[in-house]
Amino acid sequence: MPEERKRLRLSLRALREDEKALDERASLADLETDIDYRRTFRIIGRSVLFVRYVWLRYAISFASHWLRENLAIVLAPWVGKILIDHVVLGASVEDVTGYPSFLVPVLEMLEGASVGGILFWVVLFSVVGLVASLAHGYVMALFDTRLTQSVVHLVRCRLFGSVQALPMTRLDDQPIGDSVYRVVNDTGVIPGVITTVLVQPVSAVSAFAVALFTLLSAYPDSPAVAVFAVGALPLYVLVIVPFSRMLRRRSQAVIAAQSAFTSNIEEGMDNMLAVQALGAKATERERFRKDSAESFKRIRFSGLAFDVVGTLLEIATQVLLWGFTVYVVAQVVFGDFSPGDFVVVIGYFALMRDPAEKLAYLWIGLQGDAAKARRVFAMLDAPPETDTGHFALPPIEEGVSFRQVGFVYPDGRRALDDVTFDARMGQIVAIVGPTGAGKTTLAYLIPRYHAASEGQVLIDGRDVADTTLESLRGQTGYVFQETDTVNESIFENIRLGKPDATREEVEQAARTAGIHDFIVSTPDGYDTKLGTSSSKLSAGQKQRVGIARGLLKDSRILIFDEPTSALDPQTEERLVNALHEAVKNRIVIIIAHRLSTVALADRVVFLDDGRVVEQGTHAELMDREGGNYRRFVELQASHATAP
Amino acid sequence: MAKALPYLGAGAPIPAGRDLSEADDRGSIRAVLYLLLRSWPYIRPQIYGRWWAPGQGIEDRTAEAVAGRGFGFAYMPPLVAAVALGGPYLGYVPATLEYPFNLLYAPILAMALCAWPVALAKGRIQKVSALALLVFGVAANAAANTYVEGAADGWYAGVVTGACMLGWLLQFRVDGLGEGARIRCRVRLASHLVYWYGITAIQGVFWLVLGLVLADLLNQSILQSDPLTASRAELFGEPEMSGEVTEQLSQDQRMILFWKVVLIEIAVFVPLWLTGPLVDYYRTWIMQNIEQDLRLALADSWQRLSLRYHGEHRTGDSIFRIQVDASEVTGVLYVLLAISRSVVVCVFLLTLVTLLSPWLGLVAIGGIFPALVLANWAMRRIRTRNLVMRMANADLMSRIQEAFRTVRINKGYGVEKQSQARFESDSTVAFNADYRQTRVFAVVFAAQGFIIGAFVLCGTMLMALWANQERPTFANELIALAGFSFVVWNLTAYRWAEEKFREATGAFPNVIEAWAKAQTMAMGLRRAFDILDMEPEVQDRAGAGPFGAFSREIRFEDVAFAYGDRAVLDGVSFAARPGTVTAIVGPTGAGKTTLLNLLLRLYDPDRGSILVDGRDLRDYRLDSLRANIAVALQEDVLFRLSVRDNIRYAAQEASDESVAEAVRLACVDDFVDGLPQGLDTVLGDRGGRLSTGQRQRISIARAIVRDTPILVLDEPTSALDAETEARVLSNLAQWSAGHVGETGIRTGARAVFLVTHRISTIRRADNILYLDGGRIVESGSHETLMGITDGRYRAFVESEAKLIAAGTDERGDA
Repeated sequence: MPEERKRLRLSLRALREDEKALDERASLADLETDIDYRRTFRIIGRSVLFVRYVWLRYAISFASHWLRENLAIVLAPWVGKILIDHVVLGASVEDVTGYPSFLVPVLEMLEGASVGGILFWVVLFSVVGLVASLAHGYVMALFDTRLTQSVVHLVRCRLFGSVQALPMTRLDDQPIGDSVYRVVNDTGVIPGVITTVLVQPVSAVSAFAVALFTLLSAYPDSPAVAVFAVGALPLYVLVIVPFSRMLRRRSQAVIAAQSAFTSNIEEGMDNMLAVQALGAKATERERFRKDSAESFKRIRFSGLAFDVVGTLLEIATQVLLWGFTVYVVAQVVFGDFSPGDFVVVIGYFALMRDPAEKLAYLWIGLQGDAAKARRVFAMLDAPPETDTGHFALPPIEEGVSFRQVGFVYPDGRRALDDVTFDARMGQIVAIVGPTGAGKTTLAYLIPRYHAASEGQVLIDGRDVADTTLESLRGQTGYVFQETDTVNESIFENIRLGKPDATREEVEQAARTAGIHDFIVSTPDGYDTKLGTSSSKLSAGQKQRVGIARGLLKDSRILIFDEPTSALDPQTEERLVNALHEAVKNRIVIIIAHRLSTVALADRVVFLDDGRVVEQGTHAELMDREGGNYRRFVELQASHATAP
Repeated sequence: MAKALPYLGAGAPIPAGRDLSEADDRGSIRAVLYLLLRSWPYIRPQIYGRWWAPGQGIEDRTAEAVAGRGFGFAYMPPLVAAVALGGPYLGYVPATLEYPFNLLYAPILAMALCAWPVALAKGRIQKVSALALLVFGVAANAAANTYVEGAADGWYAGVVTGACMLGWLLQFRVDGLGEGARIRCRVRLASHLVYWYGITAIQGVFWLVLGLVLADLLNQSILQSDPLTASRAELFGEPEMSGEVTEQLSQDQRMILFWKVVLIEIAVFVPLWLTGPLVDYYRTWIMQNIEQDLRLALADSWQRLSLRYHGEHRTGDSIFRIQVDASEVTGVLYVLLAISRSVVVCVFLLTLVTLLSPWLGLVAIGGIFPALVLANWAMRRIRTRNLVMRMANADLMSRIQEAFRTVRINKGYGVEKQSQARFESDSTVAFNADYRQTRVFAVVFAAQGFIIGAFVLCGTMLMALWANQERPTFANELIALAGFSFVVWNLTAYRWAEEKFREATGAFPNVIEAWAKAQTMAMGLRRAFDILDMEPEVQDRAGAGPFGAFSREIRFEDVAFAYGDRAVLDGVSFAARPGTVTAIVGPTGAGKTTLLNLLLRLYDPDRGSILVDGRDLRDYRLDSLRANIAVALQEDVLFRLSVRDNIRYAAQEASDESVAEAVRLACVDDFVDGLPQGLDTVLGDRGGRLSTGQRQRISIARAIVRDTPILVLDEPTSALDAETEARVLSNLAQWSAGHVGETGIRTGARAVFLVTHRISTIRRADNILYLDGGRIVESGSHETLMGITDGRYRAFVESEAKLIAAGTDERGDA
């Protein structure tokens, strides 16, 4: 409570600090959130450039709306005039003047017609016009829907691809909820920006010009009329320019808060097991309440900011109108204008002021759009996993070598230092060491989930940095420590890396991983659909699905990250045998703590604090008096075999 | 991608299973109204407000609709009567029943009468008369501000209404009898929606002044030099400008008058400008309060639902329901108001037009029938299409969430392209669903436009014809009464009637439009309320009590549980005492985790019972039960919070000392100093910057810090190396036996449940349960179980030992 009260102090700097913190909470992967004028223009420009993929649709839509509006403006008033003049007032067609020339043939046709006859033609024309305009409205509503959808579809598909292509290190900083929010909500702003920038100013400017021209030709002696009207423009610019940055920032805070809230729901719902099991309902509720309230608060703040600037525009408009009215009223009172002129002149003034005001509002609206579009482009521009590779790796023949490899995380933590070792074809290499030693990081370097900061990772003597990701990852299978399942059937989950695997192959892999019996015991068997946060499988079962998945994939290098931690000894034994079978034409790299698994490796690499402390065969390392590995083995063996 | 969607056309059909047809529609006018009205509990607090009493502060709960808890407002009816009579009696408003004052006094009289039952009756009579009072109040104020000229009657009606409101806002209760009696009062505060409507009404009056009075002055007096009416001249303090004094205003007088008008305008505009944004802010805040209440209700409901439900439910869908569907709750206010206003306008204008010619009225009413046919055709389709669209978009959201959630595997198995393709196809489906809804709306707009157009054309032609023939109008005397002079059809009558006719015919389709929008809102609300209506599987029993200190034992008695058709546990019985460690061992899928989940009541057993100190688990309150069990899971989840906050996640009140102690016990201190900001380092998504072993230790610390009598460890050490694991476990063993006392963590024996495969860990347990196929096959201490020849546990231990031995020997000798 005292914390919230402190926030109530009206301090712009405190507000900015809050908003900065909010940006960080929204996404650590996208922190350069400040946008100055240049960036704003660039963002708006790039949004507009999306028009090039759908320019034909925009051209059709624009032309068709323009045509319809002008037809209506040109034709509609005359129907009313004919009705009033010749039906209500009963004047004969020949007597009335003031029709435009294009109506002459129509009037000739109506000449001499009775009231009923004229009514008939008017009705006929009105019905045709009504039907045509409704049909046009119907078709264009659908056409424009498709138009908008096409732009959004294009943008969101690209954005989705960009987020997927982020390097693993950045994905840790990028909350899922934030990515979801970007793809679903932020992309929607692009078609609006296109219309705002390309279509609306055209009509506003032309309306302004037409009104100005008409006014000047009607009242050439009173230049003050035009001066007032033209004066509106700079006044609006003066009002809105100082506030654009403020509006942008408030809008950014809204999206940041909404995105943080989305991440909150995403996290909470996806981890319902943890929340319920931990009895953290109250904590989670409070977190939810706070984030939701925060997003509402930001919406209010930004609404208030836009409202205040809108009011300033209104004030400018009204002040201008007062000034203008004083001038015109004086003209009327002192006899230069008639009372009728007052209505006309004020009317034209409004005609000119409206587009000017509209333009000002466009600019204001764009500030909010820019805040959203920035988030779209930030992800589109984010450097993807750099596929520096220029050559496709042929089937691996020899093996993997690490040469003085080091790795430093983007936040400066060093994970690996001067790692050198080899893994030959046909070998099982175990990577062993205390938790946090850098084992997973090391394994990540082989399929280039991480790129080495120093040294080289070589496959058949070639740096993995030079091979294409597709050819590299096509030949590596990675069984993650914590298996995620995709939202498909178990069958599809297992054959994820080999989409053409047959039922037999899948079942064989499942048997080896010790999950087959469980799967067939479920009502839907292999067709059981798994969710991503599925509670249908226990952690151990998921791990087995992951192992089966890795075994099934035809890969030259098979990496297991602690595959046996959740396995019972029987299954472990079966797996270990299977690996021995499989290793003949493969390299198996296995990260493990369990002695039973490690002991059968051809080569053991003992890692501590990012460095290779010892390496060799199990026997060699066991011979080392006081060696790290030996201590490691003895500790476990003593626990396991002691009576 | 830019060409993925056609220029026009519905595109590929929505995949079966995700589509609905009109036949699936469950809605009807009644069902939709019901859904809309279900928003009421969330809107209500903003109207009823909360009570404030001197010395007691403001209450948390929502105030009663009228009165209650012994409080009353018997002072209100006499007050209303006094004010209602006082106005005419003191001559503030003319004491006459002639038109238009009859329109004012009738509702005022009704108000004064209704006030009595509102203040004195109870139950339904009170509610009905309160509602009547409200309606008459609106009528009286409407009459005062529209039919009756001048400001005085407006104030009069306002004060009478205010007197009625006072009874609602300020209430009294007499406590005790005789000498010791005390009068207590309470004041209704926080009736935000009422305040807001009040403020907007006042703003409306300001605009009215601007629109009517000043425009009239400008047009007539300033531009055309007509003199003022006597009352206005007096009001402006310029008696010599009155029509009784002069025929025409001079140039100077006109300019003086103009400057006064400008001054008044400024005086009106400035407060409007100053308050405008604030009032909008206020409105937003009220609406957000309503939405927030619904969001919280949804979140609570989800928390109550068991994991069986969450296993089937997609995360993206929940996000969509909270952010999109639930937001419809505030729209209900607007739609219901818009509909009722349109209906009133429609009826009013139709009456006027009918007075000119009953034929016109008939034509206008005729327009209602095709509109009803249209509504009948459209509403069902709008409902189903909207629901399909909501589902498609929720699916898309889920797809995105799942894709990003599993991005590691997608990368690892090079299936990003498939993932992208699935996303693109879901995106297209969502757009197609949207298109299909848009198409129904487009048909409605077109058809409605045609109906209005046709009937307006009909009416206009009739009127034009009558004006041509200068026919007399129908009820010309009545019309004269209303202040118009259309005795025969002429140009003015034509213009006036045409406008009214157009508006009247236009108002009915407005109702349809608003109603169509209401369908989509109802569908959103339905998706929100569906969650609220879900009966949680795991519920507190009536009379469930708090979980006290657990002193004797936890006992499973013949417990069975199945996921759907698949039996997971079948007749499990065992007991565990405080101060003991129970290890649960067995092959994967044996039901170990399920057993622990039952203890936590994440599910309830299908058969048998779990007793703590002889009392069924279901007789404890769920919250207090879970508050007494600490859990660390193998795949435990860290949140995007600092390490410290993650440790304190389920124990907010934990002191820094207990956190430090938990950090030490769980060996988190091994790595936490290496993090950039130590304990205050904010972890990435799902704690992604830490290794699994590090995360597991944090989750163990999280369990320790809760300091509960029951500790459940579901393989939380699987990723730890043997040395660290040994340290963590020996710390835990000491702690659970209650030996770690000096640091402030409570001493006292705890019951520990442990799932693991590691023999080294299992051996230390006091009791080992060997689970297979959902049954306890063997149980006892390590020694006991090892003593069973051909025992399952023994085989399990031996196969592990053999593996190690095989490893050490064969390889060692090679």
